[in-house]
Amino acid sequence: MRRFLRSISPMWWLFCVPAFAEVPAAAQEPVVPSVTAVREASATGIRETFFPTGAGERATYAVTLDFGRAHLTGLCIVKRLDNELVGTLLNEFGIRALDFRYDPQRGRVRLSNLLALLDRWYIRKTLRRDLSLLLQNAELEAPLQRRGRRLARLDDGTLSLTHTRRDLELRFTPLNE
Amino acid sequence: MKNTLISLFACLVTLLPGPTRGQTAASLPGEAEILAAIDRSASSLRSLEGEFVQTKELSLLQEQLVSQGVIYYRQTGGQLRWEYRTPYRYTFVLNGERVMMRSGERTDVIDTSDNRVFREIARIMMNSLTGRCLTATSDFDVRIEAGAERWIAELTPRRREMAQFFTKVRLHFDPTRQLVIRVELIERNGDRTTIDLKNLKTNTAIDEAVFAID
Repeated sequence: MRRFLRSISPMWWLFCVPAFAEVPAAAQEPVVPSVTAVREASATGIRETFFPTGAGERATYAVTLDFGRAHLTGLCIVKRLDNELVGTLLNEFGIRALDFRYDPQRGRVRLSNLLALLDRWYIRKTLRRDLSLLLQNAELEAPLQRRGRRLARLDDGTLSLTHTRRDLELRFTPLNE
Repeated sequence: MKNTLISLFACLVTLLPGPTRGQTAASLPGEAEILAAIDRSASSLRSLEGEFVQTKELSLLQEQLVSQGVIYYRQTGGQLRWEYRTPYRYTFVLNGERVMMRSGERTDVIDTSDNRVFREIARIMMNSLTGRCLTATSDFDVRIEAGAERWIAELTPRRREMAQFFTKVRLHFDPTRQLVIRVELIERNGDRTTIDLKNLKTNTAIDEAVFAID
């Protein structure tokens, strides 16, 4: 785990460039209550399905990763192509972390174009499993627990994946483009 | 490595002032002349504000991600605000020794005096804004293409760590307006991020609140 975090830390530093820092708790603003987020989500309109289902359909998500005291942000663009979900994970400044393809028939995720620092077997393995769980179960109606991970939809439409044995949470929130 | 990344980001936000005079095709300046002109005119840039459109090409998805926002810079106090407004909201503010990053409902503030990484970010960003990104050659090989209507500074990363992100960074200058009007970031696989700068105003009074860090 420590090795994973040591590895993932520079990865997200790269991914988020200045958007990443281990911010002391005192320097952070309190998070606004989720009621606000729910209102905003209602105003923007959440998709009927979380990820695109129609051929050529595309969706964009705000992505956050929290581990320990670190808070990292980025974007994910997902498109339905040839019966697959194809996606790119990048930061707000446009720096790409990786591409992925998800085959719904096999439930498998393939990664490509990873940043060199991401291209390690244990990071790839974690990313594949996280993305597979997210992409496979996005339409869940009740929280799902599997392989040490908890997947849930939040009130504002966010899809949240929490590593139950690690202090790590990944969130996908639909953006209204 | 971190310095390299910081340099990379610095180039993302570089808004170098251009040469101090217009050029004709018959009298195009040489590379050294352009670099010197950039260096000279950089010091005269007291403030800058404008809008940007960032277009990210995603070849795998056969799509583009277009985001827009505003930028403010003030030389005094080393202040910069880089703000994305659509389709997502993300704000980066540098004010002296403090950096603020706001994403969604969360705001993080860093004191660069306590954080070596952000101190380097601040230093290199400001070096870029004052034109040293081109003249400091430790991170890039610099080549200048001088045209009648546009000057292009092509930066090639020297370090492998940076080259994994971008093979080239191209800064487009409008000699007449004496400003950078486009930044291109070209990746290994040919994908490209283009940042077009428009409605730029220089040396105007900018409200201090723009750079306020909560």
